[in-house]
Amino acid sequence: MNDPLLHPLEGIETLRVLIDNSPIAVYLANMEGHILLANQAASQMLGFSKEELLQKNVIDLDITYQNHQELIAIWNQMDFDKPNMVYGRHLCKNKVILDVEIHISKVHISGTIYLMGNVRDISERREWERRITRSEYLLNEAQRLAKIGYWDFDLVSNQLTWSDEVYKITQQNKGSFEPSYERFLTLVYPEDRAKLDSAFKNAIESKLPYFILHRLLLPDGNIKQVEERAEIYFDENGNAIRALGTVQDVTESIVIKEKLSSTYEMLSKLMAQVPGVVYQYRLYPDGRSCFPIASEGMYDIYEHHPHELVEDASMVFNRLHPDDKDRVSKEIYESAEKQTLFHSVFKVILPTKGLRWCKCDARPELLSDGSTLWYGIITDITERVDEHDRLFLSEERYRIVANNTYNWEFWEDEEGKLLYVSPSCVTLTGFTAEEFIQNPQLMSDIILTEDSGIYANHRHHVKVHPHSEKVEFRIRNKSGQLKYIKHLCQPAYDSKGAFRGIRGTNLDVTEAVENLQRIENLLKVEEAQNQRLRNFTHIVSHNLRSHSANMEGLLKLLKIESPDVFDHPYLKMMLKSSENLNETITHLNQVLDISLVNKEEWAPLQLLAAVKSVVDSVSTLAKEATLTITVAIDATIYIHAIPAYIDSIVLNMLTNAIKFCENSRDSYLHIKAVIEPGWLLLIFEDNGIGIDLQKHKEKIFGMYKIIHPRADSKGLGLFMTLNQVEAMGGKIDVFSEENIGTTFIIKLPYEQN
Amino acid sequence: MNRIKEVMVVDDDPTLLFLTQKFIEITGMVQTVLTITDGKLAFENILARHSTNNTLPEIIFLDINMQDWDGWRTLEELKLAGLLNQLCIYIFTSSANRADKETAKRFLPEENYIEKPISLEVLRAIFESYHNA
Repeated sequence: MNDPLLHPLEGIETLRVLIDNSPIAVYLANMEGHILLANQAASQMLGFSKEELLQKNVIDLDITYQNHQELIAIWNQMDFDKPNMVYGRHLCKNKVILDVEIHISKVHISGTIYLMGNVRDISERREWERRITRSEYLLNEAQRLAKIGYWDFDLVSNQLTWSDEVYKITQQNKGSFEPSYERFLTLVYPEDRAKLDSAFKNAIESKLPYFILHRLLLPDGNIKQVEERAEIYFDENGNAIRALGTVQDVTESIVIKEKLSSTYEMLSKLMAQVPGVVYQYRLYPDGRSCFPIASEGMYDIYEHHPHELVEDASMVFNRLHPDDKDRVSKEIYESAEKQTLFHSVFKVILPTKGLRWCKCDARPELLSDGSTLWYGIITDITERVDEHDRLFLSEERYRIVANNTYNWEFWEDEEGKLLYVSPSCVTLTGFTAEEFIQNPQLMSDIILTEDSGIYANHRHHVKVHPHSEKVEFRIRNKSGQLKYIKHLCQPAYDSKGAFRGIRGTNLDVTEAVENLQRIENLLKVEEAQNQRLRNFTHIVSHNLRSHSANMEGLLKLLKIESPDVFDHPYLKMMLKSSENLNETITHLNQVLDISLVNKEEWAPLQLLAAVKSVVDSVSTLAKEATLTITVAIDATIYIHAIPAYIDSIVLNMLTNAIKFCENSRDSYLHIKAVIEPGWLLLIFEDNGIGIDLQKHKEKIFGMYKIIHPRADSKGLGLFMTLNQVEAMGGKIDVFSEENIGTTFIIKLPYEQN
Repeated sequence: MNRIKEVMVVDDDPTLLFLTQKFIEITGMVQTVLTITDGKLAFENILARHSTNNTLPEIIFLDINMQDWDGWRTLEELKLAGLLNQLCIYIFTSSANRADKETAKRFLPEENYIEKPISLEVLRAIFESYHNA
């Protein structure tokens, strides 16, 4: 190229002509880097016109070089006797950077050295190179991440090649472990070796790919689960020449799978246990909706099986009660729009169960496609609704009853808070039901201080003993009046036996208490009067007796000292009157005695003995009157009575029978005792002259009533007997017929033991 | 027949005292009748005579209802003084109260309770039984 004949410019011009038609981009630069020549191809490649290129320095074109010095330094190091090739990066007019390969050669023109570059665009090749590097990287990465390795087994040369990941999975060192089929088998879990070997051999025979899951026993003792897939390649003659396969470590995924399946199973079971349905409901932006997941309880709620609703939920909406359909839809859209919790109570009409009430709660989640997915639960609350209805009804009834009751009713909850107070409390206390409910202290406040202990004790008692006695205390009502309250309360339990607080009633017993107090006062007055009367009677009887006794004594004395005086009939009469007066007073005292019985005088006594001793005492008199007395009383009968009265009563019965014998026949008196529940009947039956009861019934037991006038009749006997019997709590009956006889039945209180 | 030396009659009723004294005299079985109008005076009389070793009345008729010390008080005091057992006392009363009769039993035998009016027959029986005792 060194042609001394050519003028430099002429030489350049010649070169220009030479290169201009070359399809390869060429430019010429001096050693300073200034571009002196550029062909059409260069202009096309870089986008600059030839003229523009001639204005440029190489440093402007190639961005590889930081500055001019760097470029010159590289050029100076070049040995231009050999072909030089450099890679550069050329900046085009449109700012695109081209990867270029530049072949540089030295050109001598007229003694000056120029450099000529043939430039080739290698951008495409570079891109591919980059891509290949990247996909190799990705493949490795994919193998690493998936824990999947591949192997290549040349069956002809018996050469096994492993990818890096297989070494990793088998925990072998790539440098020291040389893989072979036999060595690989030693890494397989002993029990799985035969299985793997036969799978491989079967694949060769059947020419089909195989898949096998087996275990690896690793040098550190760990066991791994791996999945092996492989395919055998054959030559035209059908000989197996190559096997290609993958090994994937699935230990973790198996564990996860097991965990997942057990979790899923548990979840399914749990979901089945939840009353009602547990579901996932998806609403698409176009308005379609479905239940991707739902527990079997779906059938209980909607009478549709979960699988029927996986793609379309519209069947469910057809079950909704017409009254609720629009509202529920509106609520669903509202929950989706605001992403707020969905809560709704609605009715459904089911083919089998009919009308049911449902309650639904769900949490929405917005998905990337604009769908909303709810996780929720629907329960059948029909029974609760029914119960609520019933409760409401019964509560309403109770309230009507309670509100109209005259008493002051109340109900406290478990914590002692008043739930209900009947309006009637206002008539009693002057305070309204609301005042009691708002002020829990009010009740205690209106109770009189002296009685607050009674109330407090009672409150404490009720909590411990379900059945407490009623208590009475006083309150002062709003207008200051004193009221007596009878308070009755007890713990309340609901139908399931749960404690529901305390139910009670306050009764106004003011009137009753005041009446009782009045009666007590009257009784006290009466008792005092009776006492005074008794004292008075005693004094009178005593003094009368003293005086009449004195008078009788004086008359007797007179009779002794001057018997002649008594010839006068007046004095005789006076003495007789005095004697009668004395006797009357004695009787009066006896009657008075009956009403003054002391408890101490009561005693148990054997009836037979008591009667017999009296019979014995009158035996002479009875014999004289030819009266036969029989006694038929069981010796085991004991009665609690006043012995003196029993004596007196029996004596009176006997003397009456003796006195009133019918002499024309054999007279008898039968004495019997009969026991009736609660009573002892002492019966005296005679066949004496009898009494005309029609005539005398009224006066038979009266004082000084003499039915059969006789010398020894004073009319006091039966009067005394009746008083004595009544003083012991008994009664007397009499049956009689004139000339046939008389029966007295004396009934005395009797307790058999 | 030996006559009883002294009978004491205690009653606040002068008529009764007179009558009783007369009836006792009529029996002719008693030498002296001492009448006292109050239980306390009777007690003091007996106590004084006992402490001076003088003779005591052989029979005493004692009324129950008296103004100051009544019969019960008198009996109680005599009992406390240890004199009750040395005396023959008859309750002599116009009371027909059973309660009084019961109370009397605490001090005296039942037959020593005599209801007024007094009669010669009763007095004679008493004096005779005194001699026979």
